[in-house]
Amino acid sequence: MVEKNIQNNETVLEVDDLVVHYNTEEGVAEAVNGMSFTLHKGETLGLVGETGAGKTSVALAIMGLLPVPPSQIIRGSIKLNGEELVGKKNKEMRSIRGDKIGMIFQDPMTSLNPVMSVGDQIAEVIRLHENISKGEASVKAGKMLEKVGIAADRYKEYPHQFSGGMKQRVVIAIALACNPNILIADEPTTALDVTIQAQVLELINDLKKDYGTSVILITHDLGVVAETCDRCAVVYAGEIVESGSLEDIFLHAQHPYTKGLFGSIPRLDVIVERLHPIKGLMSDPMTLPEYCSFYDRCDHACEECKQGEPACMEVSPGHIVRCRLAHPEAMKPESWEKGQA
Amino acid sequence: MDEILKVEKLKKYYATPRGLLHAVDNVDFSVERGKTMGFVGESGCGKSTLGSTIIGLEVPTGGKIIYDGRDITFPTKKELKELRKELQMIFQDPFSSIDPRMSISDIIAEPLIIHRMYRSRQERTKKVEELMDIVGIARRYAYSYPHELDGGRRQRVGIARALAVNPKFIVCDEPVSALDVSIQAQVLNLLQDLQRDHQLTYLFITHDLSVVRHISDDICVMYLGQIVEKCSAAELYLHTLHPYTKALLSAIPIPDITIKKKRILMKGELSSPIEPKDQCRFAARCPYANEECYSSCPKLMDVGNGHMVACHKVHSLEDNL
Amino acid sequence: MAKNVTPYMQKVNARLEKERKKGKRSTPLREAAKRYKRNKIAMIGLIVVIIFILVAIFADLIAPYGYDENDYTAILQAPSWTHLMGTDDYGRDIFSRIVIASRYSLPVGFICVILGLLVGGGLGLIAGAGGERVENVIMRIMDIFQAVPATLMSIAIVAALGNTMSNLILAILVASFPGFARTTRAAIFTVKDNEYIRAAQALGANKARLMLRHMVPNGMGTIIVHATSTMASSIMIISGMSYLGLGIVPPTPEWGSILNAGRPFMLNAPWYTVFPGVMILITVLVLNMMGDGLRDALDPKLK
Repeated sequence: MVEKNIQNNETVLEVDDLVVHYNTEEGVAEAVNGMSFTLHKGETLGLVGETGAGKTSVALAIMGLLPVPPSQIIRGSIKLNGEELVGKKNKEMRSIRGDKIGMIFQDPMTSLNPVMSVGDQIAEVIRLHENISKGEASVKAGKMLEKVGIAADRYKEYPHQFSGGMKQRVVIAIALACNPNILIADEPTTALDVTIQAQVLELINDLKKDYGTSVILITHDLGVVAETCDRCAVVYAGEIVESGSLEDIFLHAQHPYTKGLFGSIPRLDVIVERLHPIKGLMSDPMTLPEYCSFYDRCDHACEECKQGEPACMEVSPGHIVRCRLAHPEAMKPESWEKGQA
Repeated sequence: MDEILKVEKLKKYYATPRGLLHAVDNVDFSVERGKTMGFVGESGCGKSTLGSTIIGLEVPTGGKIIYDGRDITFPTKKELKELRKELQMIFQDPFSSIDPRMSISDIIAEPLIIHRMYRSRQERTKKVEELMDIVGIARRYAYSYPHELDGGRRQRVGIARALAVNPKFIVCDEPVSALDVSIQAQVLNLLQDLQRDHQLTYLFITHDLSVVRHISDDICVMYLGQIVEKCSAAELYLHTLHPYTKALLSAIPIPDITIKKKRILMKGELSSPIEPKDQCRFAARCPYANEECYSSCPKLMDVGNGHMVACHKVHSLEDNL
Repeated sequence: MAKNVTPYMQKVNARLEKERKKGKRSTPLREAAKRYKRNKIAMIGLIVVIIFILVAIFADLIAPYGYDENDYTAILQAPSWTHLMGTDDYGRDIFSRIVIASRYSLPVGFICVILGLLVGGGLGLIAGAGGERVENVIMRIMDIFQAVPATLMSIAIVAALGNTMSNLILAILVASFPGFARTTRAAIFTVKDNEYIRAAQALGANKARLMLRHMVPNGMGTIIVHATSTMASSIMIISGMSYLGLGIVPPTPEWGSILNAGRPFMLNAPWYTVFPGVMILITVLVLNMMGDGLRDALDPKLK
C-alpha cells in the first residue's frame, strides 16, 4: 500500500506490510497482520483501536523492543528516514532508541526508576547518545525539565515526590531529551485524570511544534485523536481498516468498524436515548478467519465478504478503507444502502 | 417525590500520618426511586469512598444515611445482612472483582447461598441460569472460570451477581471504566435495560463525564470530598456554573472535528483533603478566586431550578456565560 | 493469511487440537497442572519423589536383606552385586538399611509438614484476616519461637523431653510452625486487598466464608510451595538429629544415623557415609525442585 500524500511532505517513517506473531503455549496470536502506514515530518498520526488490536505491538516493533521469543516479525519492513530497521542488531537499535525514536508509555508510575532522581534519569539518556560531560548533561536535563513545565530546582527529587501528571511530564522530558525524529506515545494519558490529560496533551502538542517531531499517538479515545492528530488510522485485529485525514475519518467514515466506534461512545454534545454498540466481542488474535476479521461483528456482512481478505480501497486521495463494500462497484446489501442514506 | 435514599451531612475521615483525611465531607443528597444519580469527579475526590460508605462497607464518621425511611447509618450485623439484599454494588475492575478460583455459576450463586435463598440445588441452578440470560452470558459459560472470559463478560458476571438477591438500589462504581468503547456501550445499554425492567435505582460513580451524562438523571460533581455542583444532567451541561465543572467539561476531548472549543487549562493538580482549611477547596486552582474564596468554605446553594452550586462567585460568574 | 508455523508451534497446535477434541474444561487447577507438566526440572523432581514414595511403601520387597541382619563374614565390604552399597561394620547391607530408612524419614517429614500446616496455617490465617491486635499478639509469639534457631530448638526439646518418635515430631513441629504462620499471613495479606474480597463482603458474606471460600483458595499456592520446602528442611533436621544421636534410635535405620555410624570408617569404607549422604542430598534437592515448579505453576505472575 503506497499512500499518496497531498502535502508531499518528507517521509520520516515508513511501515510496510508488517506482520508480527506471538508464539505462545496456547497457539499463534496474530497480533499485527500486514500493517502499512507512513509518517511525515512534523505530523501527528493517531493509531486508534481497542485492547488487543495490535497497536502496542506495532509501537514495540518500531522501537525494536518486541520480546523475542515469543514474538516474531514474520515479514514486512520498517524504514526510518529510508534506513531499514527490521533485522537490525540489538546494539544498533540501542543507538537509535532514545536518540532517533523516543517513547512514552502508558503508565508513568512504572516507567521511571524509583531510586534515581528525575534529573539524573534525563541526564542519563542524554549521556547515552551524546558525547558530553556529566556537567553539561545535567545542565541540559535541567533545561528539559523547564521545557516540560517543571521547575529546574526539582532536579534532585525522586519520582515518588511527583504526582501522576508530573511523572508523565518527566517521562516526556526523557523521551524528547535527545530531540528524536519520532515520538511514539502509547496511551500517554489513559492513566491520568481529564484535567491532567488536557495539560499533558497540550504539552505534547507544544513540544512537537517546537522541535518539529513527528508523533505516533496510540489511543483508544477518538476525542483525543480529534484534538491532537493530523491523520488517523483505525486499527482492528492487527490491520488498519481505515486511514486518512481527520476529515476522512470523522466526517466521511466508510468502514463499518469505524462507524461502530462512533456509535458506541456516549457524547457530551449529542444526546441519544441508547448507544449503538458494535455487536459481539473483539476478534481473538488466535483464531482469525481467512476472510475479513470484522465479519462476525459487521452489520453489513454478506456471503461475498467470506471470499477472502478484503482489499484496500482508496476512496478519495489519502483515504484508504479496507472493506469490500467501499468499492463503488461492489454488490451491497440493503443495510449498507440504508446506512449511507 | 419518592426518595429511596437520603444522605445528610455524611462524613468519612481517615487518619493518615499527615493528619485527618476528609475523604467525604458533609455530603448531602437524595436519590429518587427508579432514577440514576451520577457522581463524577477526578481520582481522589472521594466518590468511591462515598459509594462504599453508603453500601456499608465503610463505617461513616458522621452524618446520616436514610434508606427507604430507615436510618441505616450504623446498622447492626443483622440489619446489615438484610440491607445487602436491598443495596448491592457493581465494581470497577472486572478482572479483580470476581474470585479467579470460582466458576461462573459459583460466583453468581454465592449471594444466594449467603442469604439462604433458593435452598435446593435445582432451584439455585435455575435462578443462576435465569440471571445469566438476563445479563446476556451464554449458559455454556456456567462452568467456565473467569480467566476464560473477556472483560465485558466478566463485568456481566459481576452484574448478575449483584442482581441475584433482587436488590432495589445498586451502587455502580466505575462499572465501564475498564472496558473498551464498543463493550462499554453494550454494558451501559444492559444497565439501562435492567433499570427499566427491574425498577432499579442507581448511584453511578464515574470519572467519565460523557458516560455520566448519558446514563444519569441527576449529577453531583465532587471535588476533594465535597459536592460542588448538583443538578439534573441536562442542566449541568447547558448551564454549567461551578468553575471546576466548567474546566472539567472543557478538558474532555470531543470526538468531533467540527467543534472548536476553548479549553480552560486548570493550573496545578489535585491535592488531597488532609486537614483542609476553612476555605473553598478549589480556590488554589480556580481562575476566578479572590479573598472571599480563601476566607470561608462556600455552602451548596440553590440558584433556581434545583440547581445547587457551592461557589462564592456564582452570581458574578453567571453574567459571563 | 499464510501462516509461518515453526515446528515447535506445530507441536503446540497439535496438542491444542487434541485437547479441544477431548473437550477438557479449563479450570485454574488444570491450567496449573499444564504449566507444571511443561517444566522439565519440576517433572524430574516429581518423578523422583514418586519413586521414593514407592520405595518407602514397598521397602520390604525391595530390600534384599533385613535392616538388622548381621553377617559377620562380610564386614565393611565395598559395593558389589551381592551388596549394592556395601556393608557396614556389623556386616549389615547398607542398601537395605537405606531403603528401609526411607520408611521413617519420609513419613516423619510429611507428618511434621501436615501438623505444621494445620497449626501454623491456622494461626497465620487468623493473624492475616483478623484485626490488628490479634495479628500483633500472634505474630509476636511467632517471633519469639523464631528467635531460637530451628535445629537448636529441636535439639533442646528432644534433649529435655526424651528421645522418642513423638517428641521428635513435636520438636520439628515447634521449629517449623512459625514459618507456616508467617507464610500464610503473608499469603492472606496479598489476596486480602483484592476487590473480590470486598465484593463478597458487599454480598453479605461473613468472616468465615471470606476466609475459607475466598482467601484460602487464592493464597493456597504460596502455602503449598512453603510446605514442600519445609518438608525438605524437616527431613534435614530429622537426619541431623539422628546424626547427633537424638532422633531415631539405632538399630532402627535412619539416613542421618547411618551417616553418623559410618563416620569412623570414612577413610577406609567411604560407601558407608557417602550413600546415606547422597540420599539426603537427593531428597532435599528433588523436594525443592518440586517446590519451585509448583510455585511457577500455581502463580505464573511471580516468575
